[in-house]
Amino acid sequence: MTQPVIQTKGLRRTYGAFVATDNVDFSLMAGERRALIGPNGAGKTTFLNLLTGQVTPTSGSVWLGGDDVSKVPMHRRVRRGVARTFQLNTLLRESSVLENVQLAVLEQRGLGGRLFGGRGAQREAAEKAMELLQKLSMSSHAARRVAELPYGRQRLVEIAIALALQPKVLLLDEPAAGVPPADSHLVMDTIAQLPGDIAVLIIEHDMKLVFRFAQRISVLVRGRMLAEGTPAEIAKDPQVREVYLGRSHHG
Amino acid sequence: MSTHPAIDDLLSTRRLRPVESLPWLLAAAAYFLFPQYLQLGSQILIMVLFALSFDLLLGYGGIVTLGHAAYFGAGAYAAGLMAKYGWGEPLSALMLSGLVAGLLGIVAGAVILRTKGLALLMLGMAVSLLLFELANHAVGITGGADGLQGMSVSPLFGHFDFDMFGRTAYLYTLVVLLLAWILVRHLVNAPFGRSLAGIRQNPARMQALGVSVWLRRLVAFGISSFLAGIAGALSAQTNQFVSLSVFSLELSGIVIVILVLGGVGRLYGGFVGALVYMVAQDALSKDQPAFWLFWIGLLLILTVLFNRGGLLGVFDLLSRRFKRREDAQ
Repeated sequence: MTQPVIQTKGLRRTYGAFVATDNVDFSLMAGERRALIGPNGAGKTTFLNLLTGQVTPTSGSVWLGGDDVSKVPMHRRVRRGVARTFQLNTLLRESSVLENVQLAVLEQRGLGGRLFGGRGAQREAAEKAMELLQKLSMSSHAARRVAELPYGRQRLVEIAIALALQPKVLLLDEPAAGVPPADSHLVMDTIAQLPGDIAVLIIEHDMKLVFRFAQRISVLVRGRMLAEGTPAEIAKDPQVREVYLGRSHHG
Repeated sequence: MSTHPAIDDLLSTRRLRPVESLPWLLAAAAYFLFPQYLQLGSQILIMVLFALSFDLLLGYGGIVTLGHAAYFGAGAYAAGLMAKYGWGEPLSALMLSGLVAGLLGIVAGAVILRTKGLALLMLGMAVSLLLFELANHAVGITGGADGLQGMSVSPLFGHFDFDMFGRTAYLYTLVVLLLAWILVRHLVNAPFGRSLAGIRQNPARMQALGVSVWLRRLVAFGISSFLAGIAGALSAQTNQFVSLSVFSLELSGIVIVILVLGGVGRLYGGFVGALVYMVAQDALSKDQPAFWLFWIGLLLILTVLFNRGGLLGVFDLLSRRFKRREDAQ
């Protein structure tokens, strides 16, 4: 059997007496499309932060390929192929769309720290960034300042940046949150067309998006992994229906 | 693939504009127009260099510290001590003094850049206070409160004596400033400088790109300290004297005032700020030894409240308005 690209073993994170993540075993295979759902406060974002290294585990471990990366800082996990988008946009708002993506390309190529020149490298990176933006139908916005873009478009910039990092694992934290309904198809279409070799984990409340996108669904409740299965299995699971779907409006 | 205009747009910032030659032409002209003011001129150029080094930190790195005099002072004392104890050759001493300051910056920066906000401000200040007291205490080496005297700087290239009119000093300082400015201009337009500006805007974003924010800021801190040390060393060599005030909080404050007055994050803020500050000091303090600071204070308040771009920002505003009027016609 092939190895998961990212995996957690007995992962636990507490804040004082509060258990945010409770003994979670989780694995994601290359090219997999997975959704992580759960009621508000279930610990979904904390779990994501544990995967990226923004939060360090109280106990348990995070594995990339065959390596324990539990103590590896976030920026180095990025270089090893873990990219994410944020629930709230985290962009260089005063820079152009193109520059946001170009800086990501430069870092992915290990050129971001170059002290001199880099004239050719910067042009090549800008061209690569433009190529990516074209794929996302964003090239006509390339020269605009991020702050001037409508929110839905900004979310696409987040995704473009993450793709520029050429990740093995892409973590999407509520990519459609806050996007006006008229624009949400932009985000949905982009997610549906993500490259097939990237493992994608998406946190999402919009069940329409989850069921359209995910091959498998993991359900997190109060820090624990309650269930995992295909969308059909999860929809039928009585426990899930009780704690999650039964109470929500999405069911 | 054909080049998209957005790409050219993005890459165009590195192109040299004709207006960028203006400060250099003025500085060169000043040499001939104001021969009696060359000593003041050298001091202005030194402050420009010091402000330029600070601009790299504050304007590009977004690192707010109050203690940059530590590295200016380290360079000044390094150059002073070398000249006093037999190393009179100015160029090599200048480089070495810069390296001493840069090394100090890397050691200090490694610690203080792990903090942010108030802690960063305080730790930066603490470094300069430590050095001040160290220099004050080591009377046998530094001369303590009397200052470091008895320096002997050899002629530049073995030919050009540091004359009493300050001609050599002025040209020497001007050329060193030009080289430093070329260096900084390259740095801020290179991937390094652009990522630094990204960190200033949003450190979390750059971290999510795989950037070690701490390391990149540390590199900036080291380079900035090196340049501050060069400025300090120039001050020691051209004045043939170093006083404890090179480590003072006042000097750390002055460089911020100069940069904010001139305009932060635009490479030229130091030119305008230092010129205004030092000429005001020279002209106004003759009649009013302390009160001239009132006018600087007033100017600073107006700048911070009404024009964050500094005095250079005024030109931006005017040129934009001018352009709009042209467009309207």
